[in-house]
Amino acid sequence: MPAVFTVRPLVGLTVRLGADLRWSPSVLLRLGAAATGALGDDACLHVWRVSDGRRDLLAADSGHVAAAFLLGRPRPIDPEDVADWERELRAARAPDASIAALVRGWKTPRALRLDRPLAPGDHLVAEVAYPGGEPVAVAALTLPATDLVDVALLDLNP
Amino acid sequence: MTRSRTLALALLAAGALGAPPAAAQGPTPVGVFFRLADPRFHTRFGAQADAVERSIADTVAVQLARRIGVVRFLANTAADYRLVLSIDRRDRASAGAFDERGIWARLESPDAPSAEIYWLGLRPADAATRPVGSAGNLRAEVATLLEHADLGLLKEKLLRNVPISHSALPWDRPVGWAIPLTHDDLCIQDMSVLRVASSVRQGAMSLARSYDAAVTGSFAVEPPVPAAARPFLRRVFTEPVDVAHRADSAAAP
Repeated sequence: MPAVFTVRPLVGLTVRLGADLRWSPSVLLRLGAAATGALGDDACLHVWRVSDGRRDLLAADSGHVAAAFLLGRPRPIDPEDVADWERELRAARAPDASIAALVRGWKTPRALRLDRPLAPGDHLVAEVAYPGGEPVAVAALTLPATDLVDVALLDLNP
Repeated sequence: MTRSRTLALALLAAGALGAPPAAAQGPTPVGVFFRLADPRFHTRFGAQADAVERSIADTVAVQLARRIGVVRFLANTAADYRLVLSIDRRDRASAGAFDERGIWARLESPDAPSAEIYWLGLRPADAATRPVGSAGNLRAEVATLLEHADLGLLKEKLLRNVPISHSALPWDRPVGWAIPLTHDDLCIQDMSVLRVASSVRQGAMSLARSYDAAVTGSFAVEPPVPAAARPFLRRVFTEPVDVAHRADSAAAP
């Protein structure tokens, strides 16, 4: 995260990464089956930052079929998260082939370019929608102060 | 050898022997409609969904007409009998993301409750992440599916409830019924079996009777031809199945 420090002559300043200078959180947006399929049908992904009731477009993507998108710097994915995803898919009665394909897609997200870094406390809204405006999947969240925020978009028509 | 092909289509013969004959007619029209009932498919086309449904109904009617001749399939046309195909989950009670999607077929008729079957699988569970595709691709997918589909279930469970005629001429020498349709009208062969449902008046009673009747030839009458029989000349003649089979066995070498 960008920060401003006052460095006094002679005394200097010790800056500790993660404490004085915080990481900008990264966000992993995981799409469900319907939203992943919809991207192949010309649907678009939009991510907005919401402040004071106003939406500012943060990132958008279309024309690429992907099961996950990454906002921010690449971060290692916790193997525990991957195990959770697999359990989540099994509970949804996903066939083995779909589990393998989705988990592979979620582990290899498509990186989206951001003009401004994310910050803890940011309110984000992510949506996959068809060009006509029909939404397919949505997620809304407030960013916590963690390195990687795992967000599953909810399929509106699973 | 007896050639027998059971079509199991109801023929509703109005009245008993001596009932007034109907004028010549064509096969019963069946309106064909298509619905994108699964929201995933409907949402994909948004405001165009109606047009996509109509377009696929056109394709379905053409495909069915190629393979079933006993009724006349008319796409997106109001008719007493309506065949409504819809894409939906196989398990409609489920809201799971990985449910099989397929084609349901429902027959709506004026004289019976609607009947519906899950007919053909379209997208198996492991195709849940597949795009729906363009309207053209979906239409082609449905057309290919219907081209190779087993029509047995559709005929046995639904289309057998569509009468191929509401009238017939009961005849006594030989005993049977003439139907105001030709073999070509119905794409039907001799020894195909129809069901005749009739209401027979005996004394003060009106009795509901049902007979299986085999198509045995074309109706003909030695002159002079009674006026009532004229609309049925050269059209399908059927005999009660037991009579027809007995005669067929006797004729076999």
